[in-house]
Amino acid sequence: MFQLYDVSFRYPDANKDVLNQLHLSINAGEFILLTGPSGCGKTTLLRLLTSVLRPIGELSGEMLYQNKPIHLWSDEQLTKQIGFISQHPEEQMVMPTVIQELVFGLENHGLSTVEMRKRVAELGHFFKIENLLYKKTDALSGGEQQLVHLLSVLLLRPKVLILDEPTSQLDPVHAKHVLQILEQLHHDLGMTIIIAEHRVDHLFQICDRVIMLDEGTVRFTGNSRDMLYQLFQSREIKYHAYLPDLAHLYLEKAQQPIKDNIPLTVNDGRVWLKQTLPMRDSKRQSRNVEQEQPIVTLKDVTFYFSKNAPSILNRLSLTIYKGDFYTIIGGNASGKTTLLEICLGIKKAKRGRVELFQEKPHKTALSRVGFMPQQPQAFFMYDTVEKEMQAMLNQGDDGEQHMIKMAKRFNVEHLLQQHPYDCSYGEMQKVVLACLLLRQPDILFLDEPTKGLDPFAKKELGRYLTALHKEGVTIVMVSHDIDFIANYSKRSGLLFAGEVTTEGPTHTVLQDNYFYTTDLSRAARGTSLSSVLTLEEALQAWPEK
Amino acid sequence: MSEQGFLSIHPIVQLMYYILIGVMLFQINHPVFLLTTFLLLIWIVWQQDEGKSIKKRLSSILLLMGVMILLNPLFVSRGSHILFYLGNRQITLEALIYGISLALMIGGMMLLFISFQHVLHGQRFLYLFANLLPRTALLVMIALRFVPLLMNRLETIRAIQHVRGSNKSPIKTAMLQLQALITWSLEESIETADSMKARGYGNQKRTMYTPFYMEKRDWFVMIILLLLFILCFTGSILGYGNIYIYPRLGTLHFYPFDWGMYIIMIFLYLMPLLIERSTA
Repeated sequence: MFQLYDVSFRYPDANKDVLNQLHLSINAGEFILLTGPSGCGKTTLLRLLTSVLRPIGELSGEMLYQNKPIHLWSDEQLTKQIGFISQHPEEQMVMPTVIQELVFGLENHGLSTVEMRKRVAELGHFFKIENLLYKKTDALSGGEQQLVHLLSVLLLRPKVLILDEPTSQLDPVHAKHVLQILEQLHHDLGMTIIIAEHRVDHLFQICDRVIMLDEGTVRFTGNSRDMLYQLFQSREIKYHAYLPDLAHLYLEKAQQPIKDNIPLTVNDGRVWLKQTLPMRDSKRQSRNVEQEQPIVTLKDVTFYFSKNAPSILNRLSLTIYKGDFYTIIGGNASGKTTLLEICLGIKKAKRGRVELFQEKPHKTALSRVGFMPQQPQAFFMYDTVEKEMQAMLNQGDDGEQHMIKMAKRFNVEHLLQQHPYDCSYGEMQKVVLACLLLRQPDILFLDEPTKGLDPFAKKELGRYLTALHKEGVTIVMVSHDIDFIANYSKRSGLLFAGEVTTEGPTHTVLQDNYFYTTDLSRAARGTSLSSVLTLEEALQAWPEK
Repeated sequence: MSEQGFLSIHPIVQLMYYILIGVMLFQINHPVFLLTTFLLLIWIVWQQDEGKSIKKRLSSILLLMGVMILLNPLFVSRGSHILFYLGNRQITLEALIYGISLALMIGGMMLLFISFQHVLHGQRFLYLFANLLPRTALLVMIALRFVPLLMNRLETIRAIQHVRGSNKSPIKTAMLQLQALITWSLEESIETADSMKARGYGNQKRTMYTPFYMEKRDWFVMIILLLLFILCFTGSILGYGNIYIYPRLGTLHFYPFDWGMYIIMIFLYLMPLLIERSTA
């Protein structure tokens, strides 16, 4: 399908090639996972492959699409044959209603109404979206929006589907749904799929070949198990962040790890663990967090948008103590974000009591609070990172030094003169954290902090948060990233039907769950490791002979 | 689409109904005819949303009509039947009748617009519009999509900045927020442009997906509408359904042809409800 010979690419004003003498061949019908740390050139490569969206810059080497140089194809043919989907569901929507959005591409290609009607009917039926057709696009959830966009592209009947982190902004349930559709397209239609993604665990199970890019060149390539084996063998520890926990455990602890036996699914893992480990239930440890001084107190809080609509929060009570690292876990639209907004006084509870530092969430209380939003873009007001940080300083004498120190701590000092929007997502988050900490808050609120982060950045964020927590900052986080929660959070509450239904130490909350738990815990059920949630714990608890 | 009855008719036929009715309203000045049409329109609007908009707006429409009925005889003193003198102004029967006719016509027009808004909204309206001005229609649609998006973003920014706090004046803060909104939106609109481009926007002449197509029933309704209209219109040209008001009030009496036209007109007005009945 695609052949790349010696392809290099350099952005204008850059001093380094983003892609460096890349050799790559992609066959028709392959399902390719493209991965690598942020800034490794994934997006550039994908955009070059679409040709229509190729970035401005210096390109050398040769790119063939179906054995013909790609620049000889017309845009019209290319847009018909190559579908592209990016990571932001909301921004990809052009039209006000779903049906208009679906047919947008068809209209652009000048199809007749009869043909459009036929295609929409067929696909709409297949993906069961009849009930969405006449809805407003902005009333859809992110997952639904991404699905609608995917369908809009599929209506053009492309031969190749190129996806740039399509699930990074979605919750796990919707992410899985999108991936399942891709798997189905690949199986049933033999569509060529090239997907760049950070959340790789599930993709390792379904892709034909993995290509890992780093610094503009192909680092590893091969099928999933090959790739995992090579990653583990590589001396660079940083690549280990890409190993799914189960596979990592296997490679660490199996007596003679065999490449073809690397567990990819929970079931693979369960089979392996059952063979190797003694069958017994281990004692459960429970750790308690000291509960002394309450910082956030919610009592019988009810919230709804209108009297006729169902309540978002329903007589919810929650207390967060000084020194907590608390996570509110819940599905999409469970009211997690609303809960945060009520704690922060952005939304007013319709009934019930909300206290922050034992007072109403007003200005004085808010000055001791840091809030990192889901979209860090909305935090920025100025045109450089430096101004952004200066705005957070109080009138003090050693402000400037304090700022530099903070920038160093979060490793963002090289970004000070840049526009915040020119930073990668992970960098933006670090800038926001650095800004917030300049005010020395007593409590940090984080809304979905791991959304859109690559595994390295996630680990880094985890390290920063742990360090802050040790320094005595109370942290409240809203998330559905179970692995992250299991690794770092101390206490958790499960939000369901507008109430916190289960609450306690993270370990206890996640341990017995069927779905809301880590793959490792699911695979180890019934073995001596059954109380283990994370890789670290598993490595420690592994019975040595 | 889940909409039934008149709402499921092709937009062009719907538009035709409103234009024809509008023309007829101007063609007739007989107060009995106009009162009938006014009552029929109230009934139609009532049926369309179970009286919601009638309850809200009827009182203000009636008030406006009342003012017109009162004012016309006060300002116009033409006519030969003098009812009484107010000061030294003569109040004539002709001016009163004219005021009533005019008020009923304007009131009917307003009801027609309420009904129009209910039936030809959103996508239907755009569809009608798009055949005339395809590019503008596309622009309007994209703009429609962006209004809620911008509002959402502004709300997000304000919420976040509320917590972040600011040591600047409220006006300065609002300016900065607006600036942030624009920067953010411009940044994101690159993504939107890419998604348009990747789906082949601008490569060739666009077609329009029309979610509506003319069924047999639509043609049938259209022909009936036209027939009824031609009968009514010819009648009104020949003078039926009209009376002489100035300078001297003619008779309000109905001649046989007036009766014929009266009945045809009622059928013309009632088309939406008849369709509703026949599909229920």
